[in-house]
Amino acid sequence: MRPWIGAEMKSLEELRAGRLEGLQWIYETFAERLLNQCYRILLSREQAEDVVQDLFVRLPEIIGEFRGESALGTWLYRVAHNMCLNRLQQAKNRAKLEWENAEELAPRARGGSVELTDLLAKALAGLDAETRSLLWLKEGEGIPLKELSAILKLPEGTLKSRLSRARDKVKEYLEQEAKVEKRS
Amino acid sequence: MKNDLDGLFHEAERLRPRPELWRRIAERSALSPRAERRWEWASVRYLRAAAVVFAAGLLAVGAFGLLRKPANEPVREASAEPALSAQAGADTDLIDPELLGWQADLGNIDLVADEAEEAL
Repeated sequence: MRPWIGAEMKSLEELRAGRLEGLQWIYETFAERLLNQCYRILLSREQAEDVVQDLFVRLPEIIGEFRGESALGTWLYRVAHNMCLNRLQQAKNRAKLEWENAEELAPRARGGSVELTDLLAKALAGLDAETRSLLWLKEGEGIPLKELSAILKLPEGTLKSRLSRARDKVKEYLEQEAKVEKRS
Repeated sequence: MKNDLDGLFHEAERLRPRPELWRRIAERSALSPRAERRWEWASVRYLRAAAVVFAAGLLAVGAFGLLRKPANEPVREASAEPALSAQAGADTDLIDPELLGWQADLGNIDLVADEAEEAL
């Protein structure tokens, strides 16, 4: 049993009763992790903050969909993941782009229109949004495969192979970066 | 290379939510804080209790005034005269006849002394 389960249940009750304290506890517990997850998917702090804000503003309405079958954190990761993918999809539709996110975002990242302040962001920009989310949650947040399977609604086997491919891609990127550094 | 990957994730920039993010969420959500509600209820109760106490106080003061006024005034009038006579008696008590006699004797002594002086 998680140590905060009592506080989690209490905050859920408060939230369902329409009290701000319930929302505040959930925010203080999960906002940072959700913000980083969104940042790694969207590769933009502003957009990540927008999604987190939207998620928490809508949480009192959508909390009814949480049936307690998984941990609250798992469910929140799933909601954030879906909201980020929806946002990217909408942006893609607006721009009428037919390329994959990776192809779309990587050149933009290099051009500087998307905030890529660290090496990881640059490395993740070469992956599609779903894989970025998967890799960050596994390597950055240390979430076990079973929970990842619940978040992304994919079988563990599929996740393992996707993770393996994603790691190879990132390693490849790092090797290239190392070569460029050596040359310069 | 596995270590490089681990390092990449561990050393990666980790965002912290800015304080205004929560403020915006709190403003936009339709929820209200429990403390405020408690304050509202407390203030309503407090105002009701204060109104009841005030009304009761007014009634008590009014009733006390009505009951006391007729009973007190005759007593004060009746007691005014004996008080004055007692005061007068007290004033006369201050003049001791013996002391007056002694003072008269002193006056006589002074007169005798004056006469003796004049004779000299």
